[in-house]
Amino acid sequence: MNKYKYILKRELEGYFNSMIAYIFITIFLILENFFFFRTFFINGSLTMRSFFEITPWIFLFFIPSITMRLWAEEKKTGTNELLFTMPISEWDIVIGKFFGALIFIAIAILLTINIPITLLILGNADIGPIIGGYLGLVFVAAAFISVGLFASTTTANQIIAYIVGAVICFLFFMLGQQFIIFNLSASIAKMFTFLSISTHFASISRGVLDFIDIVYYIGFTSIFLWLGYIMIKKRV
Amino acid sequence: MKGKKNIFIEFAFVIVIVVLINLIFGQLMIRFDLTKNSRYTLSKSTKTILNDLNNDIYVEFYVSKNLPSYIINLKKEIWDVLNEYKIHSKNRIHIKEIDPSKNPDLARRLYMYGIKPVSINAYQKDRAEVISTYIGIAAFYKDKVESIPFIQDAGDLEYKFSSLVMKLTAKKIPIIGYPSVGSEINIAKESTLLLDSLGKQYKVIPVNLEKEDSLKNIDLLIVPNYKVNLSDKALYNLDQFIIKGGKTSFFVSGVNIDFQRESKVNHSNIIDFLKSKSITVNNDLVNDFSNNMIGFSAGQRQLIAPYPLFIKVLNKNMNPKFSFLKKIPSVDIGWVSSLFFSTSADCGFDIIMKSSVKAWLSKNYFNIDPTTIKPPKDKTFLGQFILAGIEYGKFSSYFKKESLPDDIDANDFQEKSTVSNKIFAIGTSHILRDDIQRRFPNTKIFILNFFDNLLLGDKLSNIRTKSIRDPSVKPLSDDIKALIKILNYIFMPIIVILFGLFRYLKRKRRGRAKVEAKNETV
Repeated sequence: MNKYKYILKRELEGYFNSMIAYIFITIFLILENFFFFRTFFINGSLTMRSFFEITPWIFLFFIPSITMRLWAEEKKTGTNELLFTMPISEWDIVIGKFFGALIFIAIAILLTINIPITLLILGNADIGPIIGGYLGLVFVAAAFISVGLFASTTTANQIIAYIVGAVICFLFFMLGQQFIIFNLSASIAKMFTFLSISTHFASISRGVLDFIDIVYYIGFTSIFLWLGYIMIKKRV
Repeated sequence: MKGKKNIFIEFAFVIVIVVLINLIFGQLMIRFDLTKNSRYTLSKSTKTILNDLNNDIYVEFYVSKNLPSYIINLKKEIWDVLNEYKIHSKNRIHIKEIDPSKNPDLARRLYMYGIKPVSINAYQKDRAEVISTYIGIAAFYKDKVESIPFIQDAGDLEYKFSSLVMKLTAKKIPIIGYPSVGSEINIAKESTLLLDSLGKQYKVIPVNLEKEDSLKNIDLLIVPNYKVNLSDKALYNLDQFIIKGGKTSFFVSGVNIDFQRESKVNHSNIIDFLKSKSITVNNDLVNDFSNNMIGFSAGQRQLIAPYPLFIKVLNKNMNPKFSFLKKIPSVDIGWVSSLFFSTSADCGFDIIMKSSVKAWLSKNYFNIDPTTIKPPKDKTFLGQFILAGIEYGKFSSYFKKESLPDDIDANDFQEKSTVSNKIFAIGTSHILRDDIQRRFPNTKIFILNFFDNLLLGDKLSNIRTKSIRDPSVKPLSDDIKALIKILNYIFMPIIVILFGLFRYLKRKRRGRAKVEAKNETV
């Protein structure tokens, strides 16, 4: 049961023992703070709406760069064979790697805490949409990581893993956008809206925790984790 | 081959389970509204309105089947709201969905309720076309019908629908009057947004202050600023309207703003009239450090800069006694004169809003140019000023000390109120203008809430504040703003870099220690 924790610890150490984590988090924080505070005082509103609008787009570029190495690197360096000799199941590997990446991204998200703190210092900000937005970001990150992990299991080439991961994330993110569903028939538009990562995120980041949104993210993430598991298992 | 088949079956099985779970939870409608005002849940006021229902309301939701794909979510959102009404009304509200597109008889009937098809762009089979669509509601209560002709956004549907229910069940619809001619702001032309909004709940009619009959049946009179003197007859009618219990809202300024030439002191007799009601409108303009940014052109450049004459009144400077103000984070008012309210044996007052403590007054020379307004160097000029308030009690007539107009029968004249009344006053009429209300929706909400509060109590104003804009940043100097920006840009990245360096050095030291220990062992 606890075997996945070994993988999780190994992954987190992998991030923080190399420069990756620090470069990633530093660039992420600079971008987030820059985009947010650039227009914050001009708008004059105590809301994090612009932050929650831009962050999924930053994730679209950043998360595949984190997840591309999750399995592709193991394959390239041959450490995957070493992993298979250990008493660890494929599920433990998938779950361990997934939660390792998720905790890493969650730390990056948590380090933007200076923004809500600034808002609360500067006035009486509504904390509900802020909590909802942060929860939504964790869900979006989980969905993107599961896609990236799956993409990484499909190839030994990290660049290809990055592109495949980014494209799938992009597609699922864009599905519900107005200009995509604009000229579709009602039933297809309804389906696209439901399948879209962005529409469910928009709903949560308003400050409304709807069970259907949570179930969607859990379902979406589970399917891609399961696909990653199948891919790893297939190559045993 | 068999393995691949198993994987495919497994995959299909997982998809089916996920879809089923989503479908089940989609029907359950379990959700938690984390927002401060429970913005996405029916408010207590709506629940009270629904609890008070004695008879059933029959609601018909008219929606076309051929809705363009990009607004199908709207239909779902509307149904979500309507279902909540149904639940909280204990089934006193009955809702039916009808597509009137293929029923010409129904379409004709809907036309009488004000519900018409709306033209919307649709793109189907690579072809752009304009289609006619219905998204409206009609509600039937006893022999009355009220409608919402077109629903564009479900966000304010609660307010619209609750207003509709209140209007349907009301015994009498209050009447609001406004002067048709002569005032600084021509309400009929320049305050169309306000009139539209008021018209959804009240009967709003223009009045002629010169004619006494015109004020009959008016429940609330809006009096904007006058640059010129009102005739004695008009003042008399206004005076007697107040003395006999009519509610009034004065939007009167002590300075006549002129955007082209020089702004000058307002010498209109409306100022003296208000003084007779214990309200003094000062001949000044309030400037405030708590203000709005405005865009203006400076040479060839377009600049955005703080404008001290466009005051941002923060919630902390509003009177918490008025519950409808509690949820309004800020109200933006421009070119406002300070007011003074006094007490007497029969009258008292409540201040509604004040400037910040860092405000100053312009007197005698009124500079309204955003590029040249400078705060006073001497900080003793800074202070807090009253911008709006209510005088209440039994008022004395303006004509107590003045002679009555010629054609007035002295027997009809009433010198003092017999019942307690309220007069609202704010030192500007510019907040009534469409351009201001469009740019600052909170200001419009403030005015509407105030009127609702005067005429109907708290119910509607509490619902309307849910759609309010986000709270505003408290006023800060440019240096503090720059400091906040820089700190936020660099603080967290520096923490991360320092942590990385610390960890790197620690690992290096540990590695070196390990090597040394190994060497010693060797």
